[in-house]
Amino acid sequence: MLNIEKRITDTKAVFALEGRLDTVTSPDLENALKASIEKITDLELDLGKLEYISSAGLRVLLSAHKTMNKQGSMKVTNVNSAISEIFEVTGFSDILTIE
Amino acid sequence: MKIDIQSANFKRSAFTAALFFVLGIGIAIASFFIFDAKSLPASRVVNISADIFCMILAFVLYICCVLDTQWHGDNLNYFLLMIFTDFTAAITDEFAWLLDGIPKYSTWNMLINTLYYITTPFLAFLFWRYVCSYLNIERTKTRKWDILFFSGLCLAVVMRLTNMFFGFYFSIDDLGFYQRNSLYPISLIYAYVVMLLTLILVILARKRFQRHQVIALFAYALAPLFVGVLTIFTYGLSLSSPIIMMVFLLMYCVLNVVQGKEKVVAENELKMASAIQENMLPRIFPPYPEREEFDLYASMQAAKEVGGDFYDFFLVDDDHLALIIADVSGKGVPAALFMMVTKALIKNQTLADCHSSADICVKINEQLSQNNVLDMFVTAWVGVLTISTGELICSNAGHEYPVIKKAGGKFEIIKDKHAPPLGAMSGIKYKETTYTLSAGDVMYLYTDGVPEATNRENELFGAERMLEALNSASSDDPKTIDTHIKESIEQFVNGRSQFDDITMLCIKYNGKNGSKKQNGSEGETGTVATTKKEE
Repeated sequence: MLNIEKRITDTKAVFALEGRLDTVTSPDLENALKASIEKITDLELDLGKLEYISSAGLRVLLSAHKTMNKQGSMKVTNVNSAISEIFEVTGFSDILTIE
Repeated sequence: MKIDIQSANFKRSAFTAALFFVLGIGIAIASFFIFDAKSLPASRVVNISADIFCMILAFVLYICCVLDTQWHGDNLNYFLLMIFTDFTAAITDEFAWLLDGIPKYSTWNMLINTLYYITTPFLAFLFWRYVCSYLNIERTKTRKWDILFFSGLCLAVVMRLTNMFFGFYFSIDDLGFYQRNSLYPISLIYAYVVMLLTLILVILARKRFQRHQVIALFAYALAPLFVGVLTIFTYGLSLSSPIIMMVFLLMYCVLNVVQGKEKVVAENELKMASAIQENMLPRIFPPYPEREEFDLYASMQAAKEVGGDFYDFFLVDDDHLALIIADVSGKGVPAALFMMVTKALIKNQTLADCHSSADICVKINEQLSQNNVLDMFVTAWVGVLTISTGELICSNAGHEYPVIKKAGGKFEIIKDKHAPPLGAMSGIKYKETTYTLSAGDVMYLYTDGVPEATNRENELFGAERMLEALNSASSDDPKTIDTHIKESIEQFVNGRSQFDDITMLCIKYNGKNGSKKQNGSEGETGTVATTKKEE
């Protein structure tokens, strides 16, 4: 299960994720992002309550990161130790802006 | 519930059901003569014959459905229940006509007509579930409607049972004749409402059906309605059960046979894809029987027909062995396509440029990053072993940490330097790590399918259990280790179906002189030199 909470103000958007971002749930995030990041220049993904992220989830983050590189910036925040380890192992810590 | 045509349970219930059909048909035909049907009016003879025809058709259709191996699951179950219900309707209809007008059987006539009346709401409810399951709508989404319709069904049955005492829908008069009463049309409300709502669902989901399939579903609802409307005013003919059965036959042909055909075609294609993929990976072990310097074993077990994991190994020249393990993001066909490309690229690049794994990764990454519209990526571990010295140059592109056991020691996770996966983004610099393997050292590489194997309690196999399993293997032989890990995972997941591809590659280095009996005492012990190379 994945809960996505969107907060959009003008050109800034915060997506707070809760639960598991895996093969089953990552299309949900992909669609939610696609639907609303067109005019966003400042995207924040709050992973505070994310328990797990699979390679399918990483792909969605990578996609969003690439899109945002063209039109603004993206950062991930509140990364907990479990997710942080996944970012380390997969080398995503070198790609994403983690705060 | 899933019907498995091979299971004893299924065979038993199929046999019981077939027996029920044959017995029903036998009784129906026998009673046709016992009750001297020849003396009945022609319309009734026609009616009874149609009922018997309907029952035979039900039997044939049932056999077809059971033998149709392409069709299983809830959808089939509802269809079979619909056939049963209509069969019951036909046999009760026949008896109702046979017993009609015989005063001494008036109680039986009542019971049988009540049973006949009960089948109608059941047929409507089952039709609703059949359409829902055909469309694969999740149970949670239809839950409210299910509850509503089921409550309606219960109410309809209770009303029919009450009717036996008060006779508001129909009654049996003193001469033993069945007759409809003033409230008869009310008995049809439930079935018509459910049918109507189901048809609305069909219309809403019309894009998922072909036109003739929509027609078949409408025919199911409208044919008996048409007959029903006609027979509100005419006494003596009730042909709805045979007509419904004919529509079942139509539905079976246009909905389920077509679906089965599509499935077979898709399955065959996947099987071929699976065979192609399997044969892309080196599968003959030992791969180099003449090389005494190392033992090697690898395996890939895809979760679906095709997978996104792969391993590879090949001799670059007489003194260099390339080792690769990789995992494409995602699963199934898209991952498999990406995997095939990546595998070919890595092999070609390594053959051309075998002395720097970092260079190999940089070049592969640039090639994969071009036109990568879906942002797919591959986590990979690429290593080149100099066989004569045991020097292993390797790079880790976002892949799981390798596990190494020094001769005589224990398996330990080596946290090497990580860089992002291949294809994630162009312009990435990869690092290089150098290990020196001594005689007797074992290296184990794996994909995340191993630590992330999940049991029924949603627990992960985890790195700890993996190390434990590695250390408890009966020998250092790579094949023994591979088998042991697989058994440990199987024991752990305890029957839960495999969710991710499981791939492993294990190599034991026997030293330059290649005596397999040798143990680590001869080589340098535990030297792990690390050099980093920044591009």
